[in-house]
Amino acid sequence: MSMIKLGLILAAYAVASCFCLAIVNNITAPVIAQHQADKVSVILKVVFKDADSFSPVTDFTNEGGTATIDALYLAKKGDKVTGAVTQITGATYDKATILVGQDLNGNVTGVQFLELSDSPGFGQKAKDPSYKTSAGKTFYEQFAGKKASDGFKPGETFEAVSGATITSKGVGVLLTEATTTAGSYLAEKHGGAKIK
Amino acid sequence: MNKNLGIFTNGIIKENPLLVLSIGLCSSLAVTTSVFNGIGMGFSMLFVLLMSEIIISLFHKLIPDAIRLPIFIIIIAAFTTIVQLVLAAYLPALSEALGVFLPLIVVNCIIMGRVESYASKNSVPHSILDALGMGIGYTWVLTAISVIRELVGNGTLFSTRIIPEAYTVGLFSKAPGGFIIFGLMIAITASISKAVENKKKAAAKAADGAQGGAK
Repeated sequence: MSMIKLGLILAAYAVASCFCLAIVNNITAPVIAQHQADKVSVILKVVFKDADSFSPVTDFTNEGGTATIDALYLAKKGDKVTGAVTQITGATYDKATILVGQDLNGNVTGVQFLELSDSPGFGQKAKDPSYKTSAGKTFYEQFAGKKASDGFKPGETFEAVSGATITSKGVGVLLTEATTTAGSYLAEKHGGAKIK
Repeated sequence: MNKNLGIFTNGIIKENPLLVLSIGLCSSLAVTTSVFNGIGMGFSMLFVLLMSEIIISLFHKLIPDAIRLPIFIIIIAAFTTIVQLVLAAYLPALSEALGVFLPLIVVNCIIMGRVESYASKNSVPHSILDALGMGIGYTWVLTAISVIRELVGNGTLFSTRIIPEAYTVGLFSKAPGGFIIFGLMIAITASISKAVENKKKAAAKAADGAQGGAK
């Protein structure tokens, strides 16, 4: 009997705290969402410079794989669709959310990390603006101008972060999935080149 | 009145959670790489500590002894989440910099320790004083360490450059530098408090001696 009473007391405290949290969450959630949206809109312009507006679409099909495609934005110049930006979340060493831009020919226009939770000092170098590959670019800048159809394999088509092979491989997989999904979408609806 | 002041100042120096009790160290070493982070962490902690002590000292008669720890954790976790949400909404730069250490305030032993050993046994006003003292004690130490680490390790204060980059010692912005400064601060506080104590003893002895002489 006393067990049940204790359980009920504990439940009462939990319910009361949940109630308070729900109130705070209601107030802060729109503000947080706004921050996230602002951050994304800044990054969109970085990964796809040659566009003046972006519109999210939802009627794409995720081309296999384990990663989640959070959003697909059509990049437009005036009324013309010039490419797409894909926001993809998936496993690296821990996980990453990346924005990838590509034009209608399947060339990568830019890559940026929205979030990356890999180890500081190793995987984190992938999004560190002061870490440079042998070509003198940051890890994420080196993808600009690459052909999506060549694939993204560390050591072959791009330079891995030294000491963070798994992060680099993971990023490669995410980029492949993002570019094929967006590539098929563009090919189907806006006359883009199909990525094999 | 004097007793209340004593409760308040207790946490600031005599029983400082970091320098004397040596609890809650890991998060404090990790966030003190810049002054902004140090102060931010200090105040987040102060808030959670204060609110948890108030609520728990208010309800301590309604908390059955057998399940007091789970209830403490629920209350602390609720306030930590509130801080997390509010910072993410209104100070996104700080919430990003503090990263994983913000949710970890839940398991910070300073809060658990004070709630268990103080708030659950004392009245609300006394708990408020204790929380303020401990919180300010935590915040000033974090600020002091982060000022030294940011200035010597990075050459900046609040991200404005003060010392040219060529004259900085990178070690101090890394973990070992944090340990070194931390150790030095503990040593300095310990030696000062010992010196004060010795002086008091000597004064007491001298007073005794004077009394003895008068007899």
